[in-house]
Amino acid sequence: MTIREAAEGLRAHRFSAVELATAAISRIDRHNSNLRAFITVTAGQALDQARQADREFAMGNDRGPFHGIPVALKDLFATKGVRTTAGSKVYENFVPEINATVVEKLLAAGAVLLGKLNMHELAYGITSANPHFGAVRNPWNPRHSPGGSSGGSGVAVATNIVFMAMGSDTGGSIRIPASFCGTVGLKPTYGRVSRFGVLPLGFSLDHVGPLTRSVRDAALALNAIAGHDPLDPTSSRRPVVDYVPDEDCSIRGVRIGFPDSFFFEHLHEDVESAVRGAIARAESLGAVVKPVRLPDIPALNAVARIVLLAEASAVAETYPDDRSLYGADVRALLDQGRLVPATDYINAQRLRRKMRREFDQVWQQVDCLITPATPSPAPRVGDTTIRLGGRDEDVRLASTRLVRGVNALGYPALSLPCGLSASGLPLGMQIIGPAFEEALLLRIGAALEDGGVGIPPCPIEGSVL
Amino acid sequence: MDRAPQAGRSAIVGVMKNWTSIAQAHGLTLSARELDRIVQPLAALEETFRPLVKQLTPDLEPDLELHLAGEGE
Repeated sequence: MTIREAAEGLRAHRFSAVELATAAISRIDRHNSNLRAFITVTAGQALDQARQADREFAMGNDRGPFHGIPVALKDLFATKGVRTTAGSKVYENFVPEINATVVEKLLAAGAVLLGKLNMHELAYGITSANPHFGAVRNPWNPRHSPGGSSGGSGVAVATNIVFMAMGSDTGGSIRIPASFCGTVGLKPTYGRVSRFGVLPLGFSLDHVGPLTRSVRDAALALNAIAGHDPLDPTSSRRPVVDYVPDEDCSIRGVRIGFPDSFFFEHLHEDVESAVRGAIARAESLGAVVKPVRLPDIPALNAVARIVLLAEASAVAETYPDDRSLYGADVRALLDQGRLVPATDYINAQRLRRKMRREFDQVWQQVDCLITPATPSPAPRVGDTTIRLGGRDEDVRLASTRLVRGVNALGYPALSLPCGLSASGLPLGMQIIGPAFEEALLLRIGAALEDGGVGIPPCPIEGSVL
Repeated sequence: MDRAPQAGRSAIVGVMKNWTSIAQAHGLTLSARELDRIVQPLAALEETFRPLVKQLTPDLEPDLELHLAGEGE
């Protein structure tokens, strides 16, 4: 069931908001000990919010599509009075006195907050194998990683616990778990959604966005959370639009760029086949597929990594020195960042401007790019290398290499499922567009979804109702 | 890796940083394994990054706050 279907059911009195919340809590009770998607469950508060939603419906007060809908938040969104750990020992007992702007917007929209989701420690990694709150497991196969850092968000959506989960994306942390868990994931344009109240990892790379079960649900979520926020100095003043695609949306004439290098190299054969199939489907729906030459993506990834290393370690300067508080992988990354000289950081930011100018030229030729989101399905838990295209790669670098550069450019990117591997794991594709063209990406995604691109529901038993 | 190491690239780059010495100078007293975990990725990253820096011209300013096309419209 999607948000749209649940919203219709609530208004048709087929079920109540309390029944939706109760079903979600029941699924958390059933699955969370295995999947470890939630760090904190706010069942009592959620039921209070659901009762309030039902009262408002009865009085004819309709707040819109999220009214009475169960959602959850990656545990780095500040929630007033509710512990916000960032998946870390550092913030283990942190109880914010404010809500993040996104949380305020969701509450104003009538959403029912089920709790705080597990994640990679401090959002600094892609496995969500959290050393403090337990390793999140992939519901399609618990021997495989859910991806990260928003791993709990991907799992909570894929398993029908919530209809939408908020994530954050600094180097792919929405799109990677969306790809590995078989959900939709939207990284909006930098500045489109407020970062106020969201624990930073890399100030100039951080984006927040939704993970959902359908493209139109992602659009509904963006409608609820987008807009200028004076509390976020990088928030855009550009007006928002209605992001929800029409029912019969068309992509006829849309120019889809097919990168002639990098994005289709060293892929798992099932990924390549599925993404090429989705591109062929787009063409059959009237889109014009054009080969396109892109700027140097490995160089862009290197620039993004330098920026992230320096910014993340700058954020962590105020954290306690006790090295035992951090997982080994995060500790190593923080150490690396402390060694990056200021000259490298500044030059990375100069290169970033140069590359964005180069990349902006691409949009003269095409309206969007379609690429794989990740080069493989979810790797096995604990694997540190993966063999792709005849070479062994570090799992973290492999999983981020198709998504990281977009963070440095600030462009929006939509990840959606486009098939299952031979072993039954989800495969994800990515649609990348120019700044503030979320509506176009969502229209293309919805047309593909309507056209049959997608996967069956996660086989974990049962549904919300 | 984002880019596979290529033999001979260091000849283009010139002198690469000694990350082990830099780490030790920062007071990181680590086991050899931990030190390796820090040094190897930085060395690999530098191999890609250093040649890019050589392309920069003095007029190119840093993008310290990401301002995207169409901002303020």
